[in-house]
Amino acid sequence: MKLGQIIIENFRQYYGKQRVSFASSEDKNVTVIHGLNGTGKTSFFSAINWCLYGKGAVKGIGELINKRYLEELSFGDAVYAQVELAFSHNEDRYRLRRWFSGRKNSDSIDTILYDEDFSLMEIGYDGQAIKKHNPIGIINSILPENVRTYFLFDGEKIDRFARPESAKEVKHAIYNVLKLELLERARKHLNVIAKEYRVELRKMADAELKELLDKRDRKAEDKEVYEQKIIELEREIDLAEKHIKDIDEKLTHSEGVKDLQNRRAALEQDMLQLGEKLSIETEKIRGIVMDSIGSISGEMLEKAHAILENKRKKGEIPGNIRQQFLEDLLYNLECICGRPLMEHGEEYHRIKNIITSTVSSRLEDEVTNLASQLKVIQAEKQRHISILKEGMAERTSIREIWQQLDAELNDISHQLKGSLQEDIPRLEEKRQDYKRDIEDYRVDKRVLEGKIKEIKKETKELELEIRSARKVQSKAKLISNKADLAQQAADAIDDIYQSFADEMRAKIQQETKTIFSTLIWKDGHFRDLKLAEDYKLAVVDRWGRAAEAELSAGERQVLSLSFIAAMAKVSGEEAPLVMDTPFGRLSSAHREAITSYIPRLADQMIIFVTDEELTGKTKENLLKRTGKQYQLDFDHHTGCTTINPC
Amino acid sequence: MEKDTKKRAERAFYPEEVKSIYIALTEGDNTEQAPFETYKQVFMLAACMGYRKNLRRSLPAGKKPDIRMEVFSEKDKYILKGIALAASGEVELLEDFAYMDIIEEYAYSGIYEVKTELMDKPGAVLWNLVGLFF
Repeated sequence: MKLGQIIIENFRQYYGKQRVSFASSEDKNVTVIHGLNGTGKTSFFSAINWCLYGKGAVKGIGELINKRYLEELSFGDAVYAQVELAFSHNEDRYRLRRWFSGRKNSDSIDTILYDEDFSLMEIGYDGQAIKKHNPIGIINSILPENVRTYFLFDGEKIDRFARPESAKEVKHAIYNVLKLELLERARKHLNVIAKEYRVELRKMADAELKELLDKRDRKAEDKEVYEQKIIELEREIDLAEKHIKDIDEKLTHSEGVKDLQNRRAALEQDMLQLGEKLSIETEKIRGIVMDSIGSISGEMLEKAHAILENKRKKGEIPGNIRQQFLEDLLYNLECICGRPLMEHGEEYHRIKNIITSTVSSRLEDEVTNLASQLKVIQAEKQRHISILKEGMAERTSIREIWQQLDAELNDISHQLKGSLQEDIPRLEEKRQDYKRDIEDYRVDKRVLEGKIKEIKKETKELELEIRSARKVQSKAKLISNKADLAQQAADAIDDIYQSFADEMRAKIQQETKTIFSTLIWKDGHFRDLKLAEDYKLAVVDRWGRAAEAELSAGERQVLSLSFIAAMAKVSGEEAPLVMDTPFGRLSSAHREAITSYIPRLADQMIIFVTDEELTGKTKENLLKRTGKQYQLDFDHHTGCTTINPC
Repeated sequence: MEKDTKKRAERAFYPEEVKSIYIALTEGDNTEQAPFETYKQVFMLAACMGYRKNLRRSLPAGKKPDIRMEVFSEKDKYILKGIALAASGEVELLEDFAYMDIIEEYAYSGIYEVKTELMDKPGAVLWNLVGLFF
């Protein structure tokens, strides 16, 4: 989607009809809307959102119709306000118009009645407008509503992907933007079809097959129940975590215990980091162990080496004298020194013995390689064992610190429970209950996951039995084939879904890393960026430690922006980036990096800024790519804003 | 010298009865409880344990699960060859995967030792495994 122009009429503080054209050429793809605070930047931003997606996209911003306009109307006058967006997508041109219409039937704004409606027109090559009958569907196929906030975003809230607790949001973003939910829907649909065929098949099946089919269906039902329970447990976990957060908030603001609570927050943060450090160390140890499994085989290396040495001493290996050469001597009946060899004489037999006890040349290579490789493995063994010792010592020391912190946490909890301040002991008790609940839910979840895994295995075995039990009746066979096909397709999609999700995650990780390292000024400080399997965005500092907890607000914004830009790139969606006051919390170094890089990344960029945000090099960078600029001029007497080109 | 011309399959076999141990050691997302990523890694450990404890027995007849030899790295193969050589003293076994007959016997007995040492003892599998190094 590329935005061409917007017409705003009587919407929020925009009185009358105002028009803005957006820059969209390849080298000048940026439109800058300048405005002081309160002049209507967010209203403009909301106008775009409202036009595309309706009221749901502009919740909580108050009255949408211009107040001056309403004030000027007389009793019984028609009310009309609208936003129209002209845009193109894949060479098709569209006009989307959303409006309010009604009648003023009272002097009070609150009692004015009006309806919201909208239409989408496609503009043909001849300039004629053709009304589209499925506007919601078309808009959703161009820029789905569930991905809206990743392309049209509020600068103030942009750091949300980089918050430690936002793994779920990151996952949703990836699933929505990359349309993974389409695969999920296909899988569900095919499962339903397979189930329907199985019901039909059961009607014509014999007793044994029927029993097997029943059994499999029961398993499928159990699986669904368990999956549902997992979703409920996840919800419970989220809720309990929210309760804990609320309690922490209250404790932080309670005089007398706020120091304790702050200390606890710091400790929990430290423990989180230690936990991550411990997993890194564990993974390192696992790697070394897997690389050194050969070392478990006791004295094998020494013994194998001794056998080879012994054979070498006996002259059996390596065959210094090649077999062919020895065979030539016997054939010519002449020794190397020139003396004749008597057939079946003593020398003749000695040479023959050497031939039979010497290994073939291929085997000789094997032996030579083995001898040298065993030496390498032996040397490696010593090195690995010393690394393992170090790793284990490090792990023990991390665990000791962790235990100390844990003891301190318990102590803090104890002190809070003993507080004389009203309410504090009760809050702390509650907090502990929630913590215990979370632990219980996690255990339950793990148990259910195990059960689902078991069911999957049993179902696979049942499928095999069912296949062999099926009678070769033509109709039954046909339906059975259809059922199999639908199930196999569902399973295949399930596999594709998983591997596609993993592949996309890896791609987005790489892109985010590239963009983040380009944008962040402490270039050498952050060494790595990971989008883990649980969709947590993690930054690793130069010492290999998890650093997301220490990111500044500005750095979090840069990380989020990198993630959004990476997603936009990987998804291949042609969509504008519309950013409402994105630079508020950023230092000038970050602003400069972003303004020099992001316009190149997006197809089109529309940016709402205050004058303070846009100065010096930032301004220079942005203006290089700017095709259109507008100024929002607010009139204090009328409370309305006029949009003027500049 | 007479040589057995019958080449063996380029696969590492193990009996069906021990498959559940292979599965338990590789399945799941807990690094400490299931530190092995592949059946090949479990097979390697089983063979080493069999040799270490000097326990081997012939595989039962019938169809058996297997692991393709391409999955084993060059280093893995040298270790397996080293075991076969140390056990038999015969360099001839080093050619054409002939060494795998002995290895499979060690791995068959060894996998039960792996279960005893890693899974039946208290503590997580990974840390019990680390204990075998010292």
